[in-house]
Amino acid sequence: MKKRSLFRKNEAGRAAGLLRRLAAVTAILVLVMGLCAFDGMGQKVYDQAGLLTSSEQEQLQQAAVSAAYETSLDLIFVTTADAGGKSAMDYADDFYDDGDFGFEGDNGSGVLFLIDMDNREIYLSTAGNAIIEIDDDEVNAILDAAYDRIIEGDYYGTFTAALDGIRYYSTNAEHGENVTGEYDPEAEDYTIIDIEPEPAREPSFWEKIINPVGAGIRAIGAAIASFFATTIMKRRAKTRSTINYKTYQHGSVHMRVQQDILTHTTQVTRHIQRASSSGGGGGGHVSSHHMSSGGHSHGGGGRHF
Amino acid sequence: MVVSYKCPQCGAPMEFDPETGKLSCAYCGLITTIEALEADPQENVQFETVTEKPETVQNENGTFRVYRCPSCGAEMLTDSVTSATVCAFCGTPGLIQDQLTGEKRPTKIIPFALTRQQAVEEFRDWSKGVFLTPRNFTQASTLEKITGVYVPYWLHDYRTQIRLDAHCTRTNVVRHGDEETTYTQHFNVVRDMDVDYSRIPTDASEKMDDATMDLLEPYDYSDLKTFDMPYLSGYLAERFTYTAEEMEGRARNRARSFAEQTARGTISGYGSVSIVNQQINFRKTNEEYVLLPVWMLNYRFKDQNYLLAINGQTGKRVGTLPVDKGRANGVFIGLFAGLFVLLTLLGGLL
Repeated sequence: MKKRSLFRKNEAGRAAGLLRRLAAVTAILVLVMGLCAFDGMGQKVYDQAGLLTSSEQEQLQQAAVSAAYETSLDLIFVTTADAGGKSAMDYADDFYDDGDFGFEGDNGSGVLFLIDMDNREIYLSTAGNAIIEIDDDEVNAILDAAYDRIIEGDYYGTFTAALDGIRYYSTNAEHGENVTGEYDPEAEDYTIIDIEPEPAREPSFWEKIINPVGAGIRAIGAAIASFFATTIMKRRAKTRSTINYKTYQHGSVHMRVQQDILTHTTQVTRHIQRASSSGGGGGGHVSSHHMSSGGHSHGGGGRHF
Repeated sequence: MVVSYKCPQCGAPMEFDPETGKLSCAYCGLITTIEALEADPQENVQFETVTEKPETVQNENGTFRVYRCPSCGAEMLTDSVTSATVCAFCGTPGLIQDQLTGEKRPTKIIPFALTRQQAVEEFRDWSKGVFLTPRNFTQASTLEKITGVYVPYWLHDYRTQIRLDAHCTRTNVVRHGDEETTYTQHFNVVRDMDVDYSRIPTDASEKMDDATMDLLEPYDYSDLKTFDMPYLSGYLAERFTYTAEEMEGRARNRARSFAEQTARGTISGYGSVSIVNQQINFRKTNEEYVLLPVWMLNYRFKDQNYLLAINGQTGKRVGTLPVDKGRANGVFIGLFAGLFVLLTLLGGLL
């Protein structure tokens, strides 16, 4: 009996429990979402230049949101026909700063990919963790892929290539090793800190003395100095002339004829070869970054098309 | 004829003293001017004429004339150009008068201004600054061997006329974008000028090395005095081996080089200068036969002779001091070891 009634009671409580659990999960989800502050419903695609069809915008919006959860980066895609006199870099950085973007909150981590028809440039602006996760080489790789599409006039393809690149490179093992950073929700800012390259362990005094390279350099230095010293001594053993062409001159020079006549002018023109490419940086994974006019750190790079 | 000046007071030989510029007696300390000596030669000065015509002897070193010391009567061997010497036995100065008269008489002389002791100090200071000279170089026994020599010089005066024809260019480069244009202006440059040279010296002694003698220059000609025999008392002196005519070529070469530099120096402000034609004419305006003072040291080290000289007027040091290779290597190794340890102790900077 008791068991039965218990069972019955359970019947009713089971539905309620299910509801409670659902509410709890929803609450936790909402809480987690609230904590990460990522707005999955917000607009991710801003096609101000009208380069995409509405279905393309729709697909890109969905892809951007799902990729955002995957990469913990807010992905923003922008086109513009009028950069307002700004460079592509400034336009992209300012758009990101002004738009309340960022995975952790305002000015948090994210990537903005811009097609700037005004400057004829594609620009990838990284912020927060994205600066670290997508290093300079990877920025170039993403731009390479996007560039192949944009020169075809395939704008949607440009964005999807960029999206695939961001998704891949932000989650791979490689990242800029020269910087670290942290998001401060109170200040709503992400601080990028440059890490000094780890100094090599200072060798001990005796290690320095025994070190054959150091000893060799010291020996060469000492030998050169000693050689100069003895050479100077030997030179001092000799004497040099202390007269010059004026010593025995008597009176001043009397000039009979002094003429400097311009006879003709010749001219040679040549074409200067300009250096075609600037040399790349050294090895290692490096993320470079700069400060936007809004006072926030951004990384990234762009390419003219 | 050998002449010797004797102290009017004690009869000892008198020598020229660079410090006072007068003759002094080493024994009684009497100092008298050259003018006073010559004013009354019969009373104050005793000339001794020992031989009218010198005998000659020949040995493996050449031909020598034999005079007799006016003081002790010992033989004084001189070669064909010696005009002043010192008796090897008693130290009495002997002036060979027939080498100092007529054409062989110098017109002027710069007397010694540096005493023997000052000259020795010069050599010692010089050696101190070098560190690498053999240890016995600075010993008194070495340095006391220095001799004061009046070297015969010709002083040549020239008026030169030099003409240069040169092709000179000046370039400037203008850039327009990727085009770089080099404009070259060509000039026809002429210089024709007179330059006077006064008292270019050439050493007229066969025995003296020209290069060493040139380095002794410059002498300060404001100290040139009219020649008088007493200046030579106590020093060695020679008469010229080469006549002014024989030295003409060398003197002209020197004048040419000076004139070229002067003329070349008046062409300036061009990027390139190439002399197309050069003409130079000399007109000899004067020449003088003078004696100039030099302190000499012949030093023999490891089978090599070193001729070192000091300008007897200005103290300028000339020649190459002997370098003791062993000592040089020792100094090198010492410096090397010291520096190596020092560099290591400075925290093993490298």
